[in-house]
Amino acid sequence: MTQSGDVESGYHPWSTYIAAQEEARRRGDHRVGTDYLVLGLLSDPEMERVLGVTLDAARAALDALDHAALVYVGFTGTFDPPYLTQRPVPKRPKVKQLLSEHLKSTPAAKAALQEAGKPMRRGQHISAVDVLRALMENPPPDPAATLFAALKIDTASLRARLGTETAS
Amino acid sequence: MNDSDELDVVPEKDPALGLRAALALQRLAERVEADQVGVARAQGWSWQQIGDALGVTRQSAHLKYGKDHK
Repeated sequence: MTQSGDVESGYHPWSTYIAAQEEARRRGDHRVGTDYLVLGLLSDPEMERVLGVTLDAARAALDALDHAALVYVGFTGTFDPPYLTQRPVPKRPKVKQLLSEHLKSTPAAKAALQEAGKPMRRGQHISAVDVLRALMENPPPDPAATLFAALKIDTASLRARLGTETAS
Repeated sequence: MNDSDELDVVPEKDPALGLRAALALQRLAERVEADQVGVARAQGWSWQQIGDALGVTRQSAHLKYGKDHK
């Protein structure tokens, strides 16, 4: 899993996945969905710049979406149990650590990571932007698409912009 | 009123919102559970007692929360 990657590029999708997993854990989720992969990307300040939003803003947007949904089904009280504690994200994760207690991904999250990771099978590096691109493929109600919409991120124009800016 | 304009935007039946609510409730339940396990540990409950209360084995309770609540 770490074999050829990692050496020069410095980016490996596992780092996004682990950060995403801790975002999922924090909110009490069992699965890492596409929305958490977006949050995982946003743990990198460079990606905050690319997307034009902060990690905190994205977290708040997910909370607001949940709140609206709960109100919709008639759960209108103010009820805000504490978030779970996030575990530290290691700089160089050990495979054993990854496998022992990771949260599963949702099928859509898995598909996005597989799509973004395709060049790695040919021994090429990928960047966080490649993962972002894959996450912008799905329409709502995909959770990432819903989050982008809530954050007023125009994925069509962002995709166009990234197309020209990709070389990094 | 302005309110009615906003209400018009949301269709009366919106499964995207409804399904999200189901997951949001699961998240809330998980957060309550984790928080209360912390309270139980602080009060000296054993993992056996916590497992009994949650309807799982001592091992599962410890596996899930042992890292976060000693």
